[in-house]
Amino acid sequence: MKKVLTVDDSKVVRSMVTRYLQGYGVEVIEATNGQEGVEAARRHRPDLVLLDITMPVMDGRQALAAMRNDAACADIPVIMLTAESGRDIVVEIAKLKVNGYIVKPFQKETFDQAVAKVLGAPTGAATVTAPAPPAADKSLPVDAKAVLVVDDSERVIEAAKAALDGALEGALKVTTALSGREAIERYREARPGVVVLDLVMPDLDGFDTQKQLRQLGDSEYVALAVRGDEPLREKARKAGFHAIVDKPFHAQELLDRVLAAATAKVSPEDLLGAMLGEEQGCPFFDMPDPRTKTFGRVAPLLGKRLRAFAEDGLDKLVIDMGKIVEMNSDAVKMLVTVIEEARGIGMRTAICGSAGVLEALRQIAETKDSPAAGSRDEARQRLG
Amino acid sequence: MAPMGPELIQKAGREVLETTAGANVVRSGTCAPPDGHFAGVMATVSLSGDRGGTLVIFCDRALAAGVTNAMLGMDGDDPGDETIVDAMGELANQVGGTLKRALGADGSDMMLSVPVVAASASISHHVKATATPTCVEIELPEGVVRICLWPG
Repeated sequence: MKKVLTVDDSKVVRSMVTRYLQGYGVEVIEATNGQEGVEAARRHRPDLVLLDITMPVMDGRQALAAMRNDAACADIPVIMLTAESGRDIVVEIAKLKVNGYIVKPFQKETFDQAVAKVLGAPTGAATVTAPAPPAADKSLPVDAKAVLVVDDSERVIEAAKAALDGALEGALKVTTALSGREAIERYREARPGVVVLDLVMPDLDGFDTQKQLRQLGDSEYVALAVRGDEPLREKARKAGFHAIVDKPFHAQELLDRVLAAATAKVSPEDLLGAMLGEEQGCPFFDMPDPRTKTFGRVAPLLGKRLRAFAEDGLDKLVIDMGKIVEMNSDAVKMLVTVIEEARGIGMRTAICGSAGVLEALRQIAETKDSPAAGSRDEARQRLG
Repeated sequence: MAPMGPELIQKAGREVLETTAGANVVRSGTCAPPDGHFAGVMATVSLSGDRGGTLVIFCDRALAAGVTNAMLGMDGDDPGDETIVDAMGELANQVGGTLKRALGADGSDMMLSVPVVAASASISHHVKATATPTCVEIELPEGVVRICLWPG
């Protein structure tokens, strides 16, 4: 089934696009900004990208440029779908090679004319699958990417958003609420995997809010508590909060606690199952972002799973670094562990990732026995 | 240079509502600027550059819900505040883009901001501009959408 990636910050537009694609027999993948869009294009290799221009985080022009400069998605057809059509913008975008330009507002006929040139005429028989979660990291359950932050202080809310927005390349979806009652409404909409909850709030405090939210879903809870209030912290521990973060908090600490909570309920077997797979007769390992802290949980199982591949005669492994945002010592340690596990059972390895990550890797680690490439396909070819 | 007059705003507003939301426009015309208090949904985009300005779309929540459902190809249930805010922001973006195309056709260099939307039973608004806005109202069977453009 062909895949179409729709990149637009408006959920309503993404829904319109999905509706208009019915009959093309495609799977629709959604991304809510340019950064998510580039990541999703790299990961899913869609047959067509429909790309808005005016978006937060990364606009469509930057996203298009990033895709064209990334070997993994440089050749993917892109149609701009945007209210922006200034002469300078159109000229700039034309230089980056696009396959069409649909100006909003648009009629379905206009949409079909542009899309059919890439996908062919609609068959009318196929159905569109449900939109995939935007830029989903398969190492986490879908809802784990949604975080609800509840605090009666706007300053704290802003600080928490700053800490969490943009994490995992913008894949964390952060919703906020200024009271327990608002949190209940927001919870129904966002179905978050993790709730960051201020313990002391007027009207409905953190404990009462948690009790009510638990009737709506099975989330993990991270408490925000004033430093030094030990009785309150003890009460939070007894109430089943996964972690307690002192206010004022360090951004990295809050992010680490939220990511740890998000993966807490996923078994190591399931986590590894989402990372390790086989494409075209060649196993791959989809390296998780080190900040998810998931690698340590799956590492003990890795050797056994790789041996199963080797016993089936599959003696090559592509290590996909696509989720690595920053090539730091944690990422290198993970990489070395995977390479050593694979080599230990006679598998040859190749690495793929973005040009930036590969260049950073080249500067800090010696991996000459593992050829590097821009995409999984290319990495497989390098392994012969 | 194309004038930033009411005809242009009416045309842009009608085009977007008719095309994106399948609206049946009953009539359109100029109207007085709203006062500083408003109940419903207010969506804003800024146009910056040679021909800058602040574009604001006003309508009541029930109408915004109807327009949102029309954009989604749905009817019946209330789409919820989050979806309404998203849809009205997209409408403002499209009206701003349509105006920009019309005004920029003569080479004016303009930029369109990300939309900002407020929805409440009571909104106080104040646009930082000294000039008087150009305001139009577009009447649909379900209610009236007002669009104002503050130049500068």
